[in-house]
Amino acid sequence: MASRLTFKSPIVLSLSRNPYLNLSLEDHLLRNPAQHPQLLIYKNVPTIVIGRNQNPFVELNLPLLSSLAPSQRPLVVRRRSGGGAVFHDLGNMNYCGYLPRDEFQRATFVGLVHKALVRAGADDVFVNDRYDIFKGDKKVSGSAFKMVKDRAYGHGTLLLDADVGRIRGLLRSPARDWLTAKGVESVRSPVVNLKIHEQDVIKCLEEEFEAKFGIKGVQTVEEDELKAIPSIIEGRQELQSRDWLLAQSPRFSLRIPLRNFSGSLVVEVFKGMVEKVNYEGPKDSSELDEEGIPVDGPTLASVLFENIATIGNSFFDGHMLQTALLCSGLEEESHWVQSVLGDKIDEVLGISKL
Amino acid sequence: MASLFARSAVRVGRNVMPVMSKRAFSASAGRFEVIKKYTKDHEWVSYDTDSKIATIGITTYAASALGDVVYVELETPGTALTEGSSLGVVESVKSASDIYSPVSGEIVEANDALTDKPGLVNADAEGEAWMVKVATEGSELEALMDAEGYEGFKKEGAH
Repeated sequence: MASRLTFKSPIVLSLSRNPYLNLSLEDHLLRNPAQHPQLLIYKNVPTIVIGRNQNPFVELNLPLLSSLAPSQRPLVVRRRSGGGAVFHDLGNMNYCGYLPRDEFQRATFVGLVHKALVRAGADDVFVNDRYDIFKGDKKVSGSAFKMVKDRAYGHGTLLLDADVGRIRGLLRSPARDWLTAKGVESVRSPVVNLKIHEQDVIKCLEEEFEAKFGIKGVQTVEEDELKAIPSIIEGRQELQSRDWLLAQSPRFSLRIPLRNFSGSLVVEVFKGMVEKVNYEGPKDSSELDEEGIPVDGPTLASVLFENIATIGNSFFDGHMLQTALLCSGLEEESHWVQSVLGDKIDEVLGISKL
Repeated sequence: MASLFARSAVRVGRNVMPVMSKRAFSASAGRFEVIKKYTKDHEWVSYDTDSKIATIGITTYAASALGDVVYVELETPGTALTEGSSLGVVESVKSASDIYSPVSGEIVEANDALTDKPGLVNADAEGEAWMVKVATEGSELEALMDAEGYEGFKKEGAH
């Protein structure tokens, strides 16, 4: 109960730069609401943030991320709200506005932020029909929303002075042409920095918040305070779990073109696990394997599926699939999978070993 | 009216039932009762008291408030639900919304058509776009709103 009383100010400013803690604080404020509208402001160290119903294999260039030194590699987080992939770093400021659901509209906080930007001196900024804020023809703020029973939030990024070139290439999966996925696609837009000082934006957000809701007051929160709140620690663990990062991806399939054989093997994945492997190709094609035994496509598919099952109760990822392909005598296909999916998924996605 | 009675008579005849007493007839009619209720989270539940299956979806009002639905994910058959647990996620215009179960029970069927055609939620929220069917004793239904109560609730919320 003490934690609930901790965040009663209209505006909460987190001093943590940890995306797992900040996104968990965001969720904590949704589930332990204040008696009034609230606005959370935070910044994160370099992090790629994908939407609730997206797929890391589709959104990310995992081989490229795998190849970066850990100090140069952005973190990867699946957030709880909808929408597409965005990039956070210390030059980007995030806001999150809360209201009871029946008072909430998508335009509410985007409009408030837009006014604050104008007040802070940004010109030529406007809100588009996807509730993003543009400066001319370039995006400066992307938004997304989360609704639970009777509360909702609208949150968004604000590119003040972000290293926007940093993610070049990281948000384009080399496997995209072979992946078929349900879920939500990212809408790509050119981006630009607002080049406004952070303190000016915060001050203008406070003023616009007071103008709209008639209340004011800011409280800052230290990282250690966040770490003392059980639901935030639980939230952090969930965000770093395989279940959240992998099993929450919408249903998808990967088509593996066969190298010495016509057709392809299609690996179908549901809730992060391989559900089945199908062969797609000419029905009557069969070839001799190294030992001179004829092999047909459906047999290859069932051999691969059996080998995946033998590896055990493991989530679909590049490394698991490479191993299963090698065991199935499909060495070239195994190398191909490494080239499109990489092989350090736990490291790249920051999956906690706990 | 006459034809309705005639059809009932045929049905009774097929089942090779003896001449029914009035009591047996009314019990039989009661078996096919379907109760439709609404929640404050803008879900509808249609409960068949005979099969004890509750069909659940979101209301037309909720669907129009969400806007264009682009993705629906539902829990799978066999999943045990308690009242208030999540039965699925809907995404529309960058909003992720959890859908909560108004009843306790086990999912016996999920509407997989919504995976391929999420837009059905906007087109026919209270018909084709049902989300899950749940085997339930339906004890939570009593507390939910009927159609009239829900109309009043929506008007209240609009103020």
